[in-house]
Amino acid sequence: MTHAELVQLMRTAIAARLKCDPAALDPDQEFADMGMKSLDAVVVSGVLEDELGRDVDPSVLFENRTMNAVAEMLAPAK
Amino acid sequence: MPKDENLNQVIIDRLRQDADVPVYTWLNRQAAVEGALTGRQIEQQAAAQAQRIARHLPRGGVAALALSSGPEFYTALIGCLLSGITVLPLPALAAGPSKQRLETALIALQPDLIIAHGEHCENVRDLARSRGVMSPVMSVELEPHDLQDNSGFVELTYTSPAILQLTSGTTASAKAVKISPANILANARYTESEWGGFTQEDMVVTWLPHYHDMGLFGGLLFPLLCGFGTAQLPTLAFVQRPERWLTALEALKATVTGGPAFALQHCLEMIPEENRAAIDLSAIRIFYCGAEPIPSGLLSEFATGFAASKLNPDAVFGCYGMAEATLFVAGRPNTGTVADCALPASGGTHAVAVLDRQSLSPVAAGIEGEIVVTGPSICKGYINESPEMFLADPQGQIWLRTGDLGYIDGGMLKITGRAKDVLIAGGVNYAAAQVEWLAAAEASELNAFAAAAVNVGEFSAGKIALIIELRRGMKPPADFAQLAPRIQRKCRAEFGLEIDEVLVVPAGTLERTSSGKIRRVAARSRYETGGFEDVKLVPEFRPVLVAETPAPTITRLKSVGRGQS
Repeated sequence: MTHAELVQLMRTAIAARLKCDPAALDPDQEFADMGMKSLDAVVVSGVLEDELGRDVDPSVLFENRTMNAVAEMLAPAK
Repeated sequence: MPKDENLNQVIIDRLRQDADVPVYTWLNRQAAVEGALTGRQIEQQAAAQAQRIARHLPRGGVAALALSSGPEFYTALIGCLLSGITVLPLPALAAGPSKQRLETALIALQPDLIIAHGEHCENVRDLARSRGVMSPVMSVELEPHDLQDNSGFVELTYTSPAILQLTSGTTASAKAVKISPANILANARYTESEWGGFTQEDMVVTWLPHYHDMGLFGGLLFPLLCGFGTAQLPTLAFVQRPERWLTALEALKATVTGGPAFALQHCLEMIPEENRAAIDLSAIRIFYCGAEPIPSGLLSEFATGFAASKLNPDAVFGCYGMAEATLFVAGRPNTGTVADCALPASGGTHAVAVLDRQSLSPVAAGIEGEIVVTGPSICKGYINESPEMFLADPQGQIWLRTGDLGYIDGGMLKITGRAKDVLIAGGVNYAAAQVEWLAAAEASELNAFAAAAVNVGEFSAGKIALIIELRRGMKPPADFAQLAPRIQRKCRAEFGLEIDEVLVVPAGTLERTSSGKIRRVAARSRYETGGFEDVKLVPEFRPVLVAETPAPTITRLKSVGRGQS
């Protein structure tokens, strides 16, 4: 998956959890500042895991605190 | 339970009876079967584990199993139980809330040996040493191939606890329940009889943490002792995608499963209705819900919500229990009501009563009091501590004070709240003090000893508020507006605990006991009636509030002022 696709996937998953407009989510905003709680981060890691077909630990979202940082970590730009 | 039953012999008999049958199966994160062990393989692997452990530890020693769920934990657990080693079940080393549990347990209980996954050993050792815990750390291993038939296990007479179960507590006051081999057997037999018996056709799928009582006993040991199989899904797999739990139930033809209220809620929220008909849960005959207060209506909502999955609504029921009673206290399927917990059958091994908290005599039906329980699965007490947790009746029968409030009506037990200073969220108990201290550490202006972290609102809703005083003579910190979010974030990171509201109040606001301790119960009712709204500090009004340090009532301020520095 590309960086943009990963961000889009997270955007959709987070918006579904937070019941907000996906377009309102800034890829550089910290997850905690969006109002995400730890359970939300675990759920989003599960969505990434199923899409990527490999284990994605929630720590990926705790350590890389924005959508862009997570996407960069999972699909590093060349 | 026959008087002469011995945990060690019951386990050996089971493993030999099912020597060629899968007894323990484990699943990966995607809920696919990763492997299974037959009775013979478990006995052999457990023997190998026991031999390795015995090199470091005599019988009666305490081994901390700081492991993730899976065959390593399972066989190490059985190896210890069969050779008289006391097990302290813990999570594997990982970032986040479970690390706190691991750290607390190691510091407070100083186990004789720590067993960890090979790749964690060095970090576990560093963590232990940095906190003054000098226990040796040993890596866990499975033997790569089948071993000889004679495991060398012989019947033994236990002299020490089988399990130390950490309940809650700060590092300074961790509580671990001493659970004896006889307690475990008694609770397994009691659960079996209350739930109408088990057969070898039964199968449990569990994702509950193996270091909590419900996962350890309900998920792993009771199936072993009662003659049916276990399949274990990693806890994280369920939390990430709850449908994995349900698809595993179907794939493995599970008949028994359960979880805390949070888990049922999570399924309702996360599994779209249109996906439910594709899951077949018709084999489930026991779907218990316990470990935390159950919001009214949740169980029937769950039963209705998953009717499309052919879930039998009579299989879904509420359960009550606690580590101090090994696990299970009350609750039965097929009662026709899903909301409350059915009382134990009369004439059985266990009984539940409700007492007036002052007179300690039983109250009439429908009247609230403290729940007490008696029976052979009641533990002997906590390690390092002998609080006033037991009562004796005129016949000399020992009753456990649960610290829970409730009432009995029509043969059902209704839980209404906690008498103890304990918070419950997500099925986990937290000592209120633990949360208050963590919060106070966020700013030197806050007083850790003048704070109240309390469950608020309807008990089962699991909402938590924290009311904390400024230290006397202190002004709110410069970044006051950021304080509450910071405390919330800290509690989330350390404990995985969500604080719904943080209120900072002036020194002296909270009601004290005569010995100067904060009365959390009073803080709770005042919070619920909005009694802190006028006194809580608000960033915008800071200058005014700092200047005046207003108090709700002058008398209250005076009466507590003497005890304050």
